[in-house]
Amino acid sequence: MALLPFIDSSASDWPIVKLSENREAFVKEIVQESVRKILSHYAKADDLYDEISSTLFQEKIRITEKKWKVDPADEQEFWGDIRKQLLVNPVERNETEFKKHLEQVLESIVTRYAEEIAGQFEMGAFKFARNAVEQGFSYMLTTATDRSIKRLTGEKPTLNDRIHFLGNTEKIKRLSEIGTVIILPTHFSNLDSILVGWSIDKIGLPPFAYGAGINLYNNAILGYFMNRLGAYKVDRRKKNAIYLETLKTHTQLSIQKGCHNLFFPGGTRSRKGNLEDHLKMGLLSTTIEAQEYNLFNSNGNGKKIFVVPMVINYHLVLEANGLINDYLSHAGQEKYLEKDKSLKPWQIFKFLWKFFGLGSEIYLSYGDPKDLFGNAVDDKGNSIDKAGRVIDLKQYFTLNGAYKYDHQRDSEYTKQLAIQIVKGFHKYNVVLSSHLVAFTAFEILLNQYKKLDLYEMMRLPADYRIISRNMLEGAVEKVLAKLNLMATKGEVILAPHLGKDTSALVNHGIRQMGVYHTTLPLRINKDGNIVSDNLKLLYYYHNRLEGYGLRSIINKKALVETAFFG
Amino acid sequence: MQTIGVIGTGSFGTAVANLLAEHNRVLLYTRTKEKLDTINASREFRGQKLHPNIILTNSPEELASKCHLIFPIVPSASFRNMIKTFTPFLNPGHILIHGTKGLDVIMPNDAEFSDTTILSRENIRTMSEVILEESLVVRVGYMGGPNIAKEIMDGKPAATVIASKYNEVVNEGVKSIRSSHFQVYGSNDIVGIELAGIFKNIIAIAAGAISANNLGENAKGMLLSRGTGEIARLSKYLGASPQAFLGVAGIGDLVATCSSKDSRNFTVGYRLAKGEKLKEIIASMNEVAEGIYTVRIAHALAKKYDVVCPITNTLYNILFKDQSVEEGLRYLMAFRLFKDVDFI
Repeated sequence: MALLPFIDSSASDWPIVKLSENREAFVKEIVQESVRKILSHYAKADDLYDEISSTLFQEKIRITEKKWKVDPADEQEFWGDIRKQLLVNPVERNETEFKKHLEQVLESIVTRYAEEIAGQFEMGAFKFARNAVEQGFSYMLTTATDRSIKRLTGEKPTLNDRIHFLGNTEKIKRLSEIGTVIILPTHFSNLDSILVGWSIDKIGLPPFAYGAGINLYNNAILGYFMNRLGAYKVDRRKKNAIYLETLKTHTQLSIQKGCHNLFFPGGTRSRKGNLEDHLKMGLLSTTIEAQEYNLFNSNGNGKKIFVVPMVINYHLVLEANGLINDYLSHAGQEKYLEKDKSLKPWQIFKFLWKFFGLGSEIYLSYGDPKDLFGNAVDDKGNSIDKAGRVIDLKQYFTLNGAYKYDHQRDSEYTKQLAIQIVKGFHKYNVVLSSHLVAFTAFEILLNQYKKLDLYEMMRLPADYRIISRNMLEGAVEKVLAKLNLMATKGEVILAPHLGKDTSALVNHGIRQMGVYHTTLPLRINKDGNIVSDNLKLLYYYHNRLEGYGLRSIINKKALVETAFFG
Repeated sequence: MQTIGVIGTGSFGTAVANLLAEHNRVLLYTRTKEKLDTINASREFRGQKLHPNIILTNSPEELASKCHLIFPIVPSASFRNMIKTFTPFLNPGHILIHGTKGLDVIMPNDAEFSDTTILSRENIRTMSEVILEESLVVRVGYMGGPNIAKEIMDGKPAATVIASKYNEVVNEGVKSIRSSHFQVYGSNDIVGIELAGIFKNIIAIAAGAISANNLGENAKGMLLSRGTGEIARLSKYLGASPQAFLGVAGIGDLVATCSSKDSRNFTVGYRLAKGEKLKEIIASMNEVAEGIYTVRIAHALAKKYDVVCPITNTLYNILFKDQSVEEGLRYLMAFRLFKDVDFI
């Protein structure tokens, strides 16, 4: 399968290329803008001093306690120097000079951060990387696929059979020529970065800038590809205000300059396995700010920003075990990331080998592009209301007919945008057999042991974890009927393989869910009934269908009836 | 001078128009040409004189094009249709602050209301939600408080809350309507403030009944406090914070409405207790008492969320099941609930 041609024949005009060519100037601009914003928060020298001191303190802890392979060698030296610069005798200091001095210190910190964050897109390496990923996938597919399948069908499997693209990708492409596109995917696995990067390329979009956790750079292979495919670095260990402002400014400027961007709005991988329902407002707010700049600043390009929610659907998640353990142990989302648990190359290889070998599928579901206010957009990029009238986006930012900046209003717009995206995740989610079976099986167990809390459930003895096949199939049919109804209303998408007869569907779901894990979330025992060897994993995969109001369908009375009479 | 729009020429709409007219030009919308001509001829409506700064119009287009800030104040039953006539002319630059204390109901499966109707949050909309649903306007607010129209018109002191998620909306509202005898507070909990105003009408009907039967101030004190708890408890399930019920738009509005014969909902309860039938009362009133419908809606909501609502249920039986007021009171006094404050 050949790669699609780029829509933009003159690749040298891509904003991401231009930004990388002028990286130095771009970094300078980030620094200037970030410093300006930070100083606007700290009018007094003492406040600024406190902020820099607290940053220094946090960074010292990070360097000593949370060191990663990817960290530069001169960290100690740099922060030691900052410390020296902060040693000013309060008796001798002159207020104006002191502030000026602090501003210089601030600038050197921001510069270091900006240098780290900004990516380095390379056209040559990009071309190489896209081919390498493509060929790697194809190689694994043809080599790993079960020989008996090949012999039976006599056909060579292709990537198209396994990786499905859903959604109006043609429209997204058209809009990327008119305005700036922001793709906002769900986040389940560290593989998402590569997969989404590759898929954007695959559907013929120009490269996107995307934020990748700096921990991923600990893995040389991932790091290599990500850098070349347009990634910039995000370090979640750094939570100080100065870093966060620099990161936000970087993203906002890159959007303002027309760079298409991709970020995972949930911030980190979903610990619980559910579709994210709490999004990070910081990065999301850069889209509103950038749109405002584009429309009203004299240097703004007037370009419109389009958002596309995207759902990545796998039958199984490589890191499911660690993620759900983390969720259950209440370790907290942030702490988990601080440990360097990046994927080893052999793990990725093993995963992909299993994925391609066992006929597993991935659905990449792109939502309908909308403007930042949830309005539909036509092919020309116009925002359209329900009656088909064109909406002037400027009016969202005007008061009594004139433009007015209002931070509180913009943060409310960001919240509304987040709600819109979460809705999109549910709407464009593709239900797979494994999700359906995991959800139903776990709900049956929950119903049977209503008195137990979640943690007691997880320690259920082995012989209590058996579900009769009749019961499971009966319940799966009920849940599927409701999902079918929802799908006709456009509230969710069903994978075509859900059309199988119930027994085959249950078998398919169990087989796909078990592809990779050493202890299985579900398996079929010698009596033909269904057993869970790993309830945590079952719970994790079950959570994928949370939030659709499906729980009420499975009640004990109905289950007993199906088990005995159905 | 800014031109501000008001939609609706009921007693509260007219009062708001007059308040706004103290510092602004006001464009007051009324639906029909006949009504417009009548009001224009007398410059007076239901005993209220119109301020000279008020100009009348029956053109939604004119109102929307001339005013960025608009106060829609029409009964909840006709609110959605009213917004629909304005929709073609409204854009995201408009700010709408409504003053309607009622709910819009989307019946499940288009069924008729009956004793067994159960409603969930998905089936009801506050008026600010109707505006968001039907138009491009995003900056929506609500104003509510102890605002009996007649007292405001007599120049007596009063206060209101303007609630909106957007500070911009609150500020614009305050700037336009605040005066020496009309104090204005702000809140970001728009749903809470709306629900406090809507559900207090239930308690107002009960207060009317208590007053008609001369049951005394102790009984009223009991009703107001237990009533506040009841509506706050129910509203929690609908997305409101209990704080809203303690402020100007909660307790403030409740006390005013539950003591005033100028309140429509109070009057309904009063006349019921005096032996009149609901149909007769509704037929003889020239404006809608929103509380009657609110009782029915709250009754259906309480079933869904399993909230103990003895006052609402009693009123439901009196209004729609022909139970006598005395019987209702006996039931309430026999009802055993031990906990005092359980809604905060």
